Amino acid sequence: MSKRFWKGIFEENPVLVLMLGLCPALGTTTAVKPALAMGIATAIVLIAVELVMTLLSHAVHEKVFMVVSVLLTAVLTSIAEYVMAQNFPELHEELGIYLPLMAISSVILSRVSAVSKSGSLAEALGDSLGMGIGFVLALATVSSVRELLGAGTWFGLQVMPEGFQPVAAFSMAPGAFFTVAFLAAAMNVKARRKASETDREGE
Amino acid sequence: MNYVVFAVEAALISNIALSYFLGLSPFPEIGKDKKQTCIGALAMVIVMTLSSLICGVIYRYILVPANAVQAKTVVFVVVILAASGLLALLLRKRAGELESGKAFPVLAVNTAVLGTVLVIVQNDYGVLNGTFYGFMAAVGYLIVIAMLSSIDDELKYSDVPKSFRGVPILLVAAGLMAIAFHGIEVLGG
Repeated sequence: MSKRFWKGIFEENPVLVLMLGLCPALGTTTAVKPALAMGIATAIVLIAVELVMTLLSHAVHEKVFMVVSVLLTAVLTSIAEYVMAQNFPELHEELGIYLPLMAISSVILSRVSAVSKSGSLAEALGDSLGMGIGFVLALATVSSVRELLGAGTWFGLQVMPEGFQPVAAFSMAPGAFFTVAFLAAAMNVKARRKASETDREGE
Repeated sequence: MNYVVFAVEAALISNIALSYFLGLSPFPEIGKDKKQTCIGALAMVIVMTLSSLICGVIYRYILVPANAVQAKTVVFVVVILAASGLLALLLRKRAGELESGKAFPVLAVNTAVLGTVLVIVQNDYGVLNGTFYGFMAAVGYLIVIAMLSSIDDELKYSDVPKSFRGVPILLVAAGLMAIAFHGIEVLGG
């Protein structure tokens, strides 16, 4: 279980290694605040869906398993949307289409199809917690880079010195693509170094 | 409203893949099976137009009068699942080479369709304009996917840094395309 947990955070980070959930990772990361809100909402729904579907894995026929998962995710997403709209109307407005899009989030659905079918609750718990936290961390990293370079702020606070000229491209679509591409490449370098180290140990 | 401007806006300037980041889940598969990716994107034009029409009608004439706008996500997901399931059934009969088992999750899980419908509702385009928007957005998506898969072809012959191989370099390409597409807006203005 704990092995699964750590895998989700670094080795198999949903966004930067598995390339899942690119849509929220690119769309909500203009600033740290909406990115964190999106990440936490997704993580909570992911944990709930993965656990419930694991419990139901014997009761639901394999053919309709994914359809049931999608419907459950959609219902939970609607609830998350409602809660967000009631308590944080500004964030809800800012997230726009990306919050309801969680209903078919590839992070949630691919984890459910990869883990929940086995029916092991411990595996599902470790995996969903790891993937959820990994997703939040990835979004936080991407949005930190973009907010610092694109606006010179972090979580709305002025961080960069006064002379800093914000690079507007980072708060627009191209900057999102570049940031995620470079972070994913950095994760690649790390994974490769680790792989070659274990090779040497083997020799 | 000028329909030519609206069409260019929907397909290119605010391209769903490059400025809304929708439908990027087939990214890791782009290089692997070009035909499958392109047939999938082509099928999406049909699903997207159909879903935009049905969801537009349901939203305008059922959800808004019934004051049940909160239920829109669930309703749209059901409509899209049904539309893409229907298409998968039809495709299985017509084209044997496209395995419906593979096409169905790609279509159903694809964020592009749901995202487009949500954009239509958010911007209050109405039923007719919304359907037109859905169609043009899907055409724009097809253009981007076709271009990216050709770029991926070219990348095989270039010396890409090891850590960028695969999806990261495609994301860089998409970023550069986003800059280029953004330039079209300036031409129009």
